[in-house]
Amino acid sequence: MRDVFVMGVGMIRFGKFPEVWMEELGRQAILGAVKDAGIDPKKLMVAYCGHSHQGRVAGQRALKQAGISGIEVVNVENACAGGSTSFRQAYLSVAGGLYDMALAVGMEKVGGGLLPPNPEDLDGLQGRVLPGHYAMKAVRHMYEYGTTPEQLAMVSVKSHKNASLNPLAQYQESVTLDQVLGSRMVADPLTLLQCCPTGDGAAAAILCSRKEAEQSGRPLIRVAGSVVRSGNFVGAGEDILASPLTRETSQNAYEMASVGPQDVDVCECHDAFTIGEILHYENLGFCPRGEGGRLIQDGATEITGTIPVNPSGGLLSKGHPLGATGIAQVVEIVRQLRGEAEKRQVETPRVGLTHTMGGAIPGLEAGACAVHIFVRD
Amino acid sequence: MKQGDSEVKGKVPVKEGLFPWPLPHDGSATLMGSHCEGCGQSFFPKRTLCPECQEGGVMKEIPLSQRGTLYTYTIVRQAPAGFEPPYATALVDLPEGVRLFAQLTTADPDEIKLDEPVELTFGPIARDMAGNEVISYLFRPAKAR
Repeated sequence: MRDVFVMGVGMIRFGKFPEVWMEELGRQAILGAVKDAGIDPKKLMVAYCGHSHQGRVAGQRALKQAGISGIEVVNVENACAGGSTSFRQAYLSVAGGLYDMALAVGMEKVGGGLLPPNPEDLDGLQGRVLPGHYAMKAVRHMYEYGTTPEQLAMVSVKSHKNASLNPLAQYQESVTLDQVLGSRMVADPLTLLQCCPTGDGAAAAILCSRKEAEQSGRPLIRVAGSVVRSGNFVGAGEDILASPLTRETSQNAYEMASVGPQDVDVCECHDAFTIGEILHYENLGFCPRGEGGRLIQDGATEITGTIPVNPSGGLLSKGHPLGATGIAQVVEIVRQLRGEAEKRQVETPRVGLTHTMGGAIPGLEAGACAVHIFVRD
Repeated sequence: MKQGDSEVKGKVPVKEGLFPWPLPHDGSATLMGSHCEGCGQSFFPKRTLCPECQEGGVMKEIPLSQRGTLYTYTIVRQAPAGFEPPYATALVDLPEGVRLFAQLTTADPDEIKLDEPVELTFGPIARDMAGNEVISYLFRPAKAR
């Protein structure tokens, strides 16, 4: 396997754009990445497109708008981890020596409100909603570890503060702890401001071989770890706070990259709901089990903290257009490692990590988990 | 299927094959699961194949316990179409080693305690597009034995 580098990244501001076609959102992200890489788009040999609801051959439709045709194009569906999975496929195509330059693009236009379950999903028929799925984890975490509603809400306060420094975020206004706690209750103990919004968006990344990366003159951002896994079967006695899926996926990625959680300088994780981020602190290894609430309270995950998490605003405030999310995480980490993150820049990071979860399936922990580790050489 | 019987008119089970339908009136109804004689695991809903043993296992239909333990819950306050918030959803562990997702009979947090016993009951959980009551299994807080 060869070393693989991220040569260019691009994304549009996330938000609601009812009057704009998905193809146009995708075009802007793709050409943003092409411009950032400083390449002729004709050099792209393969493209993987992550999306969940954009219909057939969505990738080809967006690429056509960007003036790119006649190359290998694969559409990738892995729910919220679709973008990360397309990045993984692009990584493999370059690492395996098949291509020297690959595009990973994620894009989505999402309707408002709750995401509907799959029609045969028995839990969905019984009234399960995604905020409730996470809320049940929060209730158990509070019961076992004394995590407080205020600690949960602090994740949202941090997220909104970071997003106020990110011109590409869907929400760019800071909120107070009282505003978060006082917003409408969606599923106890999660209030509205603790749930990610739905919205539209697109993001793209160009991956390449070492030779191409060195010729570009851009900073060398290496993909040091790349792992995608599906969830294991779960049954009675499953510890819903432990997430073997995130633990095993990140462990494999740490081993592949020859780093540990203590080496991570900046992280973008799947904070679809505030409790999610607290659990990911624990399961990615940033703190011991049960201490996620204390980690946010101590300020460790602020941009100025010891392990900054979601400096972009994360899913909670930057927005969560399903297929675009995983690539948008990569965009943020690459900009952070290059020192291009402006007002939300983490101090001289060298190692960055992205983590995405996707797909609720009764009987499995989740559909997919993706972890990527990036190193500035 | 006794469609049209007076006792099931206007009511539909959440899904067929999970519990007897129409429900008996004597409270004897249980959820029907599967037990794999190959590896000893039990499942709900019923499966024709064990995910572990595949064709090598023998799946037997079993009635599941009517009592379990409440692992966690939430009160849902923003609901999908057909559901009337607030309602509580929970994860319940049964002695057979099965974890169920189900609604609770109460949405009052003061009545709901983690790691305490709950017992099976049946009742309406929603209305379908045709206006029928959707009947499913629910759990209610139970006294410790």
